[in-house]
Amino acid sequence: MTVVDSPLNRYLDAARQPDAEQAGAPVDAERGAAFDELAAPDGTPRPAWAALVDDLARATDDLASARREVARLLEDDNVTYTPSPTSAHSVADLREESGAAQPALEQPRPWRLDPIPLVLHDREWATLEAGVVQRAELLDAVLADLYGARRLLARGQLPPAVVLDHEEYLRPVVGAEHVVDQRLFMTAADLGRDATGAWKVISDRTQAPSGAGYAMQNRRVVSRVLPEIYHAAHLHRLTPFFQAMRVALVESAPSTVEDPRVVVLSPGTHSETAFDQAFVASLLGFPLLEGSDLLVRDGRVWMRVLGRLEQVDVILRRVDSTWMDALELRGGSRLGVTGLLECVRQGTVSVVNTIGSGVLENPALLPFLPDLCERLLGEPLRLPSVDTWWCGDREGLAYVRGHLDELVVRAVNRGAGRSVVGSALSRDQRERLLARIDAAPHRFVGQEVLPLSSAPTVPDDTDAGGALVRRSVVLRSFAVRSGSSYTAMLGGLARTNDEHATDRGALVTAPDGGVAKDVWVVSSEPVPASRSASTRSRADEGSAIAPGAAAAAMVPRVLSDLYWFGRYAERAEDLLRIVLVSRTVMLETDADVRPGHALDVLLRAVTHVSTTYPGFVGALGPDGSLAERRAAVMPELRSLLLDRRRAGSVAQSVAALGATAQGVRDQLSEDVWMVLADVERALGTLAGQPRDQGLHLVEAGERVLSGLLALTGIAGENMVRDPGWLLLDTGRGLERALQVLSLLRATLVDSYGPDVDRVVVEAALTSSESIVTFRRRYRGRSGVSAVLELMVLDPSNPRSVAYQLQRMQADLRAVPSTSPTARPLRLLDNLAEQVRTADPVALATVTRPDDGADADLPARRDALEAFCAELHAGLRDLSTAIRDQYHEPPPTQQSLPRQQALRRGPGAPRETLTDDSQIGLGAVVPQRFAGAASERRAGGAR
Amino acid sequence: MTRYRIEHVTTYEYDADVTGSFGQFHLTPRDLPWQTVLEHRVGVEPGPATLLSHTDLYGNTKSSFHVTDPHTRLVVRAVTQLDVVPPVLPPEALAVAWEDARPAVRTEEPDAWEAADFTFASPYVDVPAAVEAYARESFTPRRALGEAATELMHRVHDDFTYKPRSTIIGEKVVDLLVKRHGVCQDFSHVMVAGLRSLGLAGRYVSGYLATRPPPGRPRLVGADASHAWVGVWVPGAGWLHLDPTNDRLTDASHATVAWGRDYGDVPPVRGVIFTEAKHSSMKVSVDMAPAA
Repeated sequence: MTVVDSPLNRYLDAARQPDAEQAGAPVDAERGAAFDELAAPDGTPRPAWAALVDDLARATDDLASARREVARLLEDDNVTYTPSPTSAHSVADLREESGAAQPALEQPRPWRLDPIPLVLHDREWATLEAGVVQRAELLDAVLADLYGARRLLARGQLPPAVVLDHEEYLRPVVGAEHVVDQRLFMTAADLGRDATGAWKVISDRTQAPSGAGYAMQNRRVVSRVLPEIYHAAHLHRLTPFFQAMRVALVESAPSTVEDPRVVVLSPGTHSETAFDQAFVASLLGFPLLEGSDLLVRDGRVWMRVLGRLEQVDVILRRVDSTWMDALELRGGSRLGVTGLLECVRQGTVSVVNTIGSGVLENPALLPFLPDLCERLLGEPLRLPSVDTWWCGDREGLAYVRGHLDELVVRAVNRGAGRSVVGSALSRDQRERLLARIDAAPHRFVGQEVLPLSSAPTVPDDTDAGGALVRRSVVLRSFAVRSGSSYTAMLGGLARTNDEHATDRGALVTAPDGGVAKDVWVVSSEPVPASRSASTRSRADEGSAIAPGAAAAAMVPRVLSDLYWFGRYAERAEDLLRIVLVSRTVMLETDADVRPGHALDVLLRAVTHVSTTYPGFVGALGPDGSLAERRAAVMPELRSLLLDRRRAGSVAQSVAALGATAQGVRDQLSEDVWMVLADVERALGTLAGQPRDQGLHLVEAGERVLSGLLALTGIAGENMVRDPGWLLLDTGRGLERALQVLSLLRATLVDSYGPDVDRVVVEAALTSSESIVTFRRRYRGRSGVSAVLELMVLDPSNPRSVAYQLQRMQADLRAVPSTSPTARPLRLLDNLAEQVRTADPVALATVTRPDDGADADLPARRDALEAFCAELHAGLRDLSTAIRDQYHEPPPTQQSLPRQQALRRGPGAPRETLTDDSQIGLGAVVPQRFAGAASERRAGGAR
Repeated sequence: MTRYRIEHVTTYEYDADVTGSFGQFHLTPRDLPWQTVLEHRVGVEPGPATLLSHTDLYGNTKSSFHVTDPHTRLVVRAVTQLDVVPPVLPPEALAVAWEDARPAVRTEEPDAWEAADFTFASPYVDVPAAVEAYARESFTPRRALGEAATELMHRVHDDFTYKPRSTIIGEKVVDLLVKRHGVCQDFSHVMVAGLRSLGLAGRYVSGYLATRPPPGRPRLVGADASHAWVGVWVPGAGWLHLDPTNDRLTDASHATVAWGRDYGDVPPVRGVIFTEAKHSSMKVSVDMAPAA
């Protein structure tokens, strides 16, 4: 059965008649009829696709909705990629001189994924796989030699200029015995097809290869968008690759360790591939850490866990080598672990990929690989590289100069800028580039421009019934160590160029730009289920490889993030509630904003509670005319929900919630992301209604509120009660206690008479979810003392201050290594005592204004004010004590001043170096915060 | 032969407790055909939790330590006794035309590939076009290597003013060519850059220089500092060492500690400390005295 008129079939038809340019699917005239992944030259689907094509055609009939569905699922999982500002300049561009402003930090962008996978037959794959595995073995042998015996250099099999002037050839590592032992753990290769359809390697990724996590995420999304096809296809799974990776990590441990502790080291949530890092960590069930979580002591690496140290045996490194040790590599780096290299040298910890492995990314190695393969492995190189000319030899230089328009020019060192297509250069760029090549020819290569294959892709601007377009494809393959050889992923990460591709040429090797594709390796026969009979999760793949082992690493940063996760969630929730209540009161009182009336008191409470001054107490306060004040209410309430830059707003709390969640992605249920995505959507909808009179505000507010309640549910029902959870719950309790006190203080201290008090009290109780209890319990009574009893003193009311204190006591007592006399617990005891002994009747007593005072002035409950202020201060102290106890920040790291060699000859005036500051060495002490963010970015593995 | 006792003391002081101090030092002089180390020891105070040494790819002894006792004062003291004779190279080796002393054209020499490591720009030695122009004045076509290198040394000595505290560590060669002053480290970096600009192998040597007191004055103990000079590769014969700060070839008053591509490969002491201290100071004292 054939679906005649689907985009996929039209794509096939177009391939048959290359002259008839289908709209949106032009055949690139210069490239001729490049190899198409789907369509054979006669317009029939290639064998790998044959069994799938009809189902695929049907499933992708409505391209726009398929694309939307993919985008939604990616958003639900918060899959992002952060473009690197450093990749902006090319080898032919003018370079900013020193002193140039730091490039602004880029915001994470949504990961883009095409619904249509790249489908390859496993017969073809087998050839490719053998090549990928052999290449990993070869690169491993080269790496071992370059950092070990260095025979290749000594015997002239590799010219010194290829290796010795490469920025990733790290001399402190050369000759270190245990470094050589660790060798190459994982490698990736970017592959493209030539005109005949044969695969060639464009570049090798050996520093700290990224993308395996994205590949798995792509698989999960596509399998959910195309479930029937996914299950019908005889598809090789990705899970075995991650199982192999897990085994290999454990086996990488120093030989003396029995049950090794493996961690994933990330440059942080600002790095380009932060999602990939976190996702791989959670797939493998190893903790995701940052440099500040680790330290060196007694010649070993430890992580700081709840006030004690736990030894770390294996570090899966996602930080670039040069940033790994501030002592011996890049001074001032905070991304690595100071003193690490000596531990590596002593063999007490394994770092994979081994520090210095980036030297293999050098494209000047490519022309030498066939020969090296014969020498080192004794067999011919199976998988060719793109034709590459190294300008360090005379013939290579002459060729590149003579054929610039046909070549891609790449700098040997990545830091020198991204590669350029010769034909796309302006005259100035061309001259600049040639001058740079002449000045240091050995730092450049020219490479053939691969035609690359094309694959059917849903265009960005597609609408229902739109057409598929042909887009060039680059495939990233992955191989991980397995015993003495390597295992390749049965699949990979494919990327197609996007609409901005022209200014980059056909290259899509940079992960930015471009749209990803899932890679399906299919068999003609059913594929046996993967060896571990894992329970089928919702997507069949990608659940944790070793769920039991996913023991959380309770390093201070993680505990701090979870604590703040609790606080931000509660803060957003409490503000929303009072905003919603205020909106109701506004309707009920016909927006009566007169000073001293209920709405006015409530609105000022909104500002006090959220500390978003001046807000309703400032310029919006009693000074303006009533009409102005009335008109200002809705914009201010909107701003409190939507303005992300405003500290205290709902949007800001939600953003902070997302940021803290990102830092502890491996600790949280994936449902968290779905909830957060929906919260963001609700806020987005409201933002799209600028003329809203309140209807949308309420609707969005309720949606956000239900999202936040769902978070509470997830935390309550789905999270293990480990120290992380206990701190999260503590954060929630602390924030709630603070919020309740602020609310009571803002609404009850000033008394405007029984009528106003009644409305305000009801609103405060409603916003604290206690109105029902209140009515039932204190039937008829509406006194402030009853409110205080319920909201402050009653330990059985989960909204009361007393309840929060008990909750925090229980939480913190359960955190291991918290002594009963720890400061947070002592402070809690004091606070609980204050609350227990409080007298609600006394607190509710109103002090009459002095005789002769302005009659409009409210009466005050001074005792209540003092009580709230005292408790509030106590809670602030508690927060500090919790930080000191559990989030103990690592001490500041500085470089020592360095001494200049200063000796002068006999008879010369004597000079004694006494004070570093006199010779300007003070500058070597890094600033604590300056550049931290850009450092994270620069050190981030790609 | 001359025998020396060398004491090199580096003292750091901080205005608040340092809770962890990682250090690495190059303070152990090398054994060389012209230098024999008789006795050597290094002490760190407070006593380090770990103190380890290894030999780096250039054959230098690199040591690293980790002090974990809280302290406000850190002292690294190295004491060495050694014998030095003036190094000699065969005159015919130095007569080679400098073009033929470039490692890239002498691949038949077994150590050419290692010498090649010293022909590229390195973190502290940039090789701007200006330094090539400067060096070429001495390196005229086919001139003998020894002669040309010695003249370059003279010119660096004459054109640059020795001026302590006028430069920072890591001053770029391109800037030094404009400033024309600096300390011995800067003199050496400029000369090394000049050699590399021509494809020659130039290395940076860290060590000590024995000083004679001015006539009639006693020798001041501890007033010396560490010193630096330059090596240029001589095919088939090793390295010729030149001291551009003092305008002379190295002799029995130069004690060699370590060499590398530049200062950054072999700083006497460097470190990273963990502290909330706002200010730190460093004092260096070197004493190189003739020993019995």
